[in-house]
Amino acid sequence: MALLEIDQLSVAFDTEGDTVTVVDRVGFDVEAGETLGIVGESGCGKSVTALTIMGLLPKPSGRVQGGDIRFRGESLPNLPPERMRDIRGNRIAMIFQEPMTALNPVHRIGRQLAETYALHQADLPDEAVYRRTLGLLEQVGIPAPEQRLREYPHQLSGGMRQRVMIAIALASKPDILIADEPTTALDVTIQAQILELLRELQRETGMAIIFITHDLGVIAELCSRVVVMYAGRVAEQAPIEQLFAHPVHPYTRGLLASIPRLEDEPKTMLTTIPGVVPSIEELPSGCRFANRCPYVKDLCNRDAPELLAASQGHQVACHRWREVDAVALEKWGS
Amino acid sequence: MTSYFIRRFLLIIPTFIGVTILVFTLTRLVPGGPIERMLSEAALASAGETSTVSDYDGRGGSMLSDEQLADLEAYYGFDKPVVVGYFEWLGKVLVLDLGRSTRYNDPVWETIRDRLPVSIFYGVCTLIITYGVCIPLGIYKAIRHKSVFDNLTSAVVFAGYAIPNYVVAIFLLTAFAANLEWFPLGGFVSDDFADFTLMEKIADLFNHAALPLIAYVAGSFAFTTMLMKNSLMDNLAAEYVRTAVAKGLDFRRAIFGHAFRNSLIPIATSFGNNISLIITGSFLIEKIFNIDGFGLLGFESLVERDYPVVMGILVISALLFLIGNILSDICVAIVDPRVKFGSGESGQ
Ligand SMILES: Nc1ncnc2c1ncn2[C@@H]1O[C@H](COP(=O)(O)OP(=O)(O)O)[C@@H](O)[C@H]1O
Ligand code: SF4
Ligand SMILES: [Mg+2]
Repeated sequence: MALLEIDQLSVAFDTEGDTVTVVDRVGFDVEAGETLGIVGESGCGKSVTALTIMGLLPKPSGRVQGGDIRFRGESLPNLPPERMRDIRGNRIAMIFQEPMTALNPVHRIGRQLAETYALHQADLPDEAVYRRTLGLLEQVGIPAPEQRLREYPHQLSGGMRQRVMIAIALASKPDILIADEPTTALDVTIQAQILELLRELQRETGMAIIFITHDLGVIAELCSRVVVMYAGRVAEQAPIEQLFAHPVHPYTRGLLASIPRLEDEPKTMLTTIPGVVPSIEELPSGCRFANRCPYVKDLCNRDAPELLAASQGHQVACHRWREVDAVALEKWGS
Repeated sequence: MTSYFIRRFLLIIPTFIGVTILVFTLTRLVPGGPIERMLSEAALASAGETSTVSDYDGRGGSMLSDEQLADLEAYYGFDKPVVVGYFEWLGKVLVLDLGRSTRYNDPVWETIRDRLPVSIFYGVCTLIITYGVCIPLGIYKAIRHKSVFDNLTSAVVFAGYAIPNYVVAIFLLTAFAANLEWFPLGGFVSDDFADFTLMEKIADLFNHAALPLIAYVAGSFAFTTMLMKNSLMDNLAAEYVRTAVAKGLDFRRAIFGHAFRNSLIPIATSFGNNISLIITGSFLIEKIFNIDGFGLLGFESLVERDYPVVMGILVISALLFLIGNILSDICVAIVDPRVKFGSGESGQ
């Protein structure tokens, strides 16, 4: 049994008399101590999936429509709220994209850090809480931690705030850390530092990380396994080396072709996949990638492809992945 | 920060001078000054009830010689140029002498002082009721957004806002004082107030105050309630609240431990304005309920061209307004640590 099992999860939002399914039968496992990457274009349902795991869907509009999330075998969507609060922020923690807005502007850093202890380790004496919060700031590489504890978020840079967010998430030594685009809002150099920090922390603590990004390049640096999402569905799922060396879904191929590589000839333009993602309201009944796929056939427009095993640990949702693989057309290369 | 507030307090001086110069000059420029007013009234009285007010702008017949008139003008300082007159007035204000009422010939300060308890009582009660109702109501409406309760209370507060307060006052007076006789018809306290025991005094005070207070606050709920509601809803949707919930906080603690204080920032900003409003009152409500407060005094003084009283009220309300705004800034600085007034301060 995996630590966290996402099983055919569907999530819907009710909007003005309409129900839109934004996450559709998504499934993947997270093993203890691994780093799983979730990658996909903006709007494909990565954040919604993460928030659903945390039980943080906006209410009352968002709801789990089908499937299950099991943490250590326990079904999270069906837990009573008090029990879920024990898991949230304690066993599963989350950090967000915008470190500038994710901290409460009117509370000191120290108070925001200590809050986790007050919630999950209420019997810890103040002195111990102080020492631990100090230790956390040191652990996430914040200089002059005593001083930082007394400061407010606006006195810290974006990178420092994201480190504080990570420290808050680490406070209860979670089993899983969900990082939803934690570096997207940061400068490239800071981004690299935060990735390095996450890698280091994972080595130290052995927690599992679900790392969400729209950037396959970042995934390559951190993750051992990747889930590629497209328009609310899983397109492909594979160990990192496998995915980079041998992608079989046309969308993944397109994504990989659009990563700039150092060894490439300098191009005047980045290769991008032509066309746009169909809007959530008018999703096709067949394959959702059909309108952008160079391999599209009639069958693709008729039936939605199921997620099937391509090889050991490698799954793909494409009717024609074998042919695509065999032809290995370089449609997007140059 | 401290130096910022010191600067703000010092800025009161030029602002105060500017406002008072403006009004002082206006009192000199507007036709029909207090002397003309007194003369016409005197003429009116001597001519008996048959006389009309049409000779209002005249000299009131030939009651006074030019010499006597000049004496009068000199007595009230109208013979001097505006600038000289103003600085004489200002000089007196600095030694807390607001002059004498041209209408009653009483010292202005005494006239104002007599009204002060009434106005402060109503002002403070209005302020307490407004914030005491609006903040919890706004919170509850934000949490129960779009519920029946939310829609119903919105309708009620906006109705209160849309109906002019004197209409509310007249309605209340007619329905609950005149017809049902649950409340007295007016006045601040009963005539035999002095003989009451303490409990009777308090009961009497609030018995008289109930209807006017309702008239005062009916229109003031909409703004602060909606400000509180919208501000809290914005903050509930903010990412830091999601962070707080992601730590494992329950909804209640996320609201009161995190969103609430942030949502008070706009409330604190509007606080200063409300402070200065409390004392000015409303002459219509005061008139309807026969309350001798600032509103009525100011209105009557203006109509009667009792300029020393007008200026006296201006001094007090201008100071209140200016100090209120500084208090507002202090409140904002207390709730929001990001606010660092003035440049070159630490922590930027
Ligand atoms: N609160 C919401 N109400 C309605 N639709 C939403 C809401 N949040 C997200 N969505 C929709 O769900 C889809 C997936 O969004 P999201 O998970 O945020 O994408 P991303 O992969 O960029 O994180 C989008 O089409 C978005 O419009
Ligand atoms: S199912 Fe068809 S349209 Fe969809 S990705 Fe595969 S080949 Fe392209
Ligand atoms: Mg997202």
